[in-house]
Formats: sequence, structure tokens, C-alpha cells
Amino acid sequence: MERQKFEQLALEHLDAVYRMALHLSRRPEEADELVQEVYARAFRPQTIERFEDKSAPDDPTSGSGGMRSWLFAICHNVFYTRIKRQARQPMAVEEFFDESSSETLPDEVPPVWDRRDLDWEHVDGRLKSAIEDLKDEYREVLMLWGVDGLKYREIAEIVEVPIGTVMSRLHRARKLLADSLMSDESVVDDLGLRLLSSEPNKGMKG
Amino acid sequence: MTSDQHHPEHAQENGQPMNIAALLRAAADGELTECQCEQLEAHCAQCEDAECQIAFEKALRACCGRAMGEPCCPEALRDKIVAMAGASVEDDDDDDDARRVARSNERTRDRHFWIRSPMMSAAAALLILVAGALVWQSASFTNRNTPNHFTPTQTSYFNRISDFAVREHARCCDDGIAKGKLVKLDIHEVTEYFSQAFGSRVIVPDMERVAGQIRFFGGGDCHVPSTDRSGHLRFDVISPDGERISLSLFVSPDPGLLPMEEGLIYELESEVCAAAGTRLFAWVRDGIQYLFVSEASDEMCAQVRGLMQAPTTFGSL
Repeated sequence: MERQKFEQLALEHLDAVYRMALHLSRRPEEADELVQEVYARAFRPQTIERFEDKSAPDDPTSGSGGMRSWLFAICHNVFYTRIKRQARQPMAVEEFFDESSSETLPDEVPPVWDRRDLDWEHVDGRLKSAIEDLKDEYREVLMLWGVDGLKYREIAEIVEVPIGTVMSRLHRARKLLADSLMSDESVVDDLGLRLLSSEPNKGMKG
Repeated sequence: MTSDQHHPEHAQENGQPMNIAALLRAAADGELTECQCEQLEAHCAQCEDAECQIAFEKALRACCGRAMGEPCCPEALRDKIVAMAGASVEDDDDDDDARRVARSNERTRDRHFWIRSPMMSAAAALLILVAGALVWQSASFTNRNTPNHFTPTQTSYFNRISDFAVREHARCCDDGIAKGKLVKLDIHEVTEYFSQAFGSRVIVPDMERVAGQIRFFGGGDCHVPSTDRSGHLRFDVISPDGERISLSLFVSPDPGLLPMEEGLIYELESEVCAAAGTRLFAWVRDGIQYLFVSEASDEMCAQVRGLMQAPTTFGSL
């Protein structure tokens, strides 16, 4: 791909890359550095030569295999490489077991939303703070899923984990956010949320 | 009731079981296989709340999108990255990334050259002033490039939205592709949907008044650069020669990256528009940015802009 076109295409996704960097690092200064390093790598001559735009020919806005996903993958790699370099501490035991059980999908069903005529804009603040409390890897997949609208497979390619791990992290993150909403009585009342019983016959017809 | 109905057959891409919770979440994400769709149907037949649970997950996703969709890249950082793009042309040798970043920063801060050569500095400053004055005077002439007074950010955005609007319009001129994206077929529903999403009234053609002149093909979500939410509406008109002409209207909250005033319409002239044989117009109304792509002839163009309820007075960027 021609350098100028490549650079133009890469710059189109600067906002998205910055958002990812900020949500990963949680500090604007660190996000700045992360973004600069991402683009420094992206603009290497040998990188430009090797880049192949795999986005679907009939969907130039797709992030799948295209420039956006590719930049996200670089951002992910750069961030976690830094983490490994900076934090050479043994993983806590509970963290180890947490990670090893990540393949299991949470089995608590989502809450029921009875009042679908309402919008959720007034819970954005509550959700923001719940998102801030999530682990880095949960927040990362949540952002790729919620903001960039990527599919599980696309997310798996970016963060370089099996698709089952993506599903597990995503589902756990959503479960935690749902729990956060359900713990707030005013939100539950406003939106008309309720939990189903875990018993299989409850809520079923017949 | 069979055991299958109590415990529907689970399936996951790798053949491992997927529980009902995961099935519902995957359904909300549009990630089900054909087999899983059947399982979901079976579950929904038994559980009347399943649809509401799926609705919860969809709403949660939209909420996450809003909560995490900010902020945009700060201007200072954007300028650095843009400068890095320009600097990368000069550096052909394989270089360490940290040095590349450092050199880019250094280049923008270095004053030694100018301190050593005051006469050169004064001459350069005078040259810049004269050039700037000439550019300012010529800014009113029609040209196919971005206005010379644009900042790098404005230039980048101008090029991005021009490319985007023209390409996406062209792509959605294909009915088959458009039907997959522009899924909302009722213009009142579309208007209401985007007005609520943007928090401001979206103005579209008054179809009752202009029904014989224009047809609404459909509308749907889109990804206009530098916006978190945006929409695409396609309309079709018939030219005097009987040819179908498609029009695209992209709507979004105004990101404020172009110096447009409310009440004026602007034509965004660029090479990509010229190459595509289309014209691109932009205006802002009540905090909503409208990008209008028209393939209509010059004679028809004013008419179709009127159908879009665009401002009639032209401004200059």
C-alpha cells in the first residue's frame, strides 16, 4: 500500500486508538505515550510494506482485519509488553485461580428489563464508575465490543486469546456491570429491572 | 416435558456446552450459530422473559458504548502524530521507535537553529507573513484542496469525512448492500431514533409534502469519523431523463471540527468528490452535523438540497 494512503488510513482511527489506550492505561499521560508508540511502530517502512488491508471489500468501514483492528492489536501488545516489563511481581494466588477459570462462562442469566420504552442515559455515570473498577482485560474487551462493535472473533484476533476466553471475559464483565446496576435500588426501580430465579422452571411457560 | 427442554442441548463454537446465560448474551450480540438459534427459540418458547433479558443485554451494550466512547484524541497529541506521519517520509533507515518518537518531539521544540541565525529567523518570519497574507487573499477562490488556513486537525477531518461520505454513499448505492445496513424503512421512526440518540431534533425531508419528488430508501446506524453515534439515510430521486439518482444524508452530533456556522451551507470540494462525480455539502443545525452527498446534476442539485431542507445561503470554510 502506498505510504501516504496508509498514513491517512491510520490517522482516521486515531480517536479509536486513543480511547483504547486511555481505557487500558487509565492515565492520560500514559495513554499519550502509548498512542505515540503505536503510531511509531505503525509508520515503520517495513510495517507499511507488510500491511495488508483485510477489511471486507464491500465494507470499507469495517474494522475486521482492517487498519483499525491492526492498530488495536499493536496497542494491546505495546500495553501488555510494558506491563510485563514494569510489574515483575508474582501473580497473587487468587488471581492465578481467577485467570485459570476464565474459560467457564458465568451461568447467572441477565436481569429482565420490563420497561423497554425507557432509555438508559441517566445510568451512564453509574456504569462508567463500574467500568473503571473492572480488571484491565475485562475493560479492554468491553471497549472493543461496546464502542467499536467488534465481533468475538475480531476481538480474539486483537487481544490474541482464544475466542472462548473473549466470551468468558466479556460475559463476566457484563455480569459484573449488571450486578452493579442491580445493587442500586433507584436504577432497578427506574428501569424496571428484575432478576429471574435460578431455578429452571421459574419464568417458564407451562 | 423432555429433558432437552429442561436442559436444552448446549453448543459452543468449539463443541463445548454453552449455558443459557451465555446463549442469551450471544443472542443479544448476534453471535449465534444456526444450531444455537434453534436452541434459543426452544428456550424462548419456555421462558417468556427471555426477550426482556436479551433486551437488557442490548441496552447494556449501548450504554457501555456511550460510557466508554469518549474522549477523542487531544489536539496536541493529534498534531504530534500527524507530524510523525510527515517525519516518517524522511526516515528510510530502520530506526528504534523510541528514537523516532524523541526525534519527532525534538524537531518541534528545537530553537537552536533560529537562535544562531537571527537574520535567517527574521527573513523566515517575514516570508511566512507574506505567504500568509497571500493565502488569506486567495482563500475565497474556488479550489479543490482544503482551505489553506485549516489546522492539521481540520485538514485531516475534512479529508476523512470527504472520503468517508463519498465511499459510503457509493457503497450504499448498491441496493443489496444498502438493505443490509439501512434497515429502518419508516422515515418517522428513523427521525425519532436519531433525534433521541443525539438529543436534538434531526431535520429530514418532509415526505408528506415532497412524496412525489423523492423516495426514502431506508436509514440506519453508521460510523461517521470522529462521532460516537451517527446515521445514514438514503433517498432516491428521478432525473428529468428518467434516471434514478441516489442521495445520502449522514447525520451526527456536530463534533465541531469544521468552522461551520448554523444557517449556512458549505460545499466540501475535494479530489475524491471530483473523481466520484459527486458533490458533498455540509451544514449544522441545532448541534447536528449534516453531510449530504448528491449525484444530481447542477440543475437538479439546488432542488434536491431544498428537499433536504438544507440552508440556502452558502458559506465559505
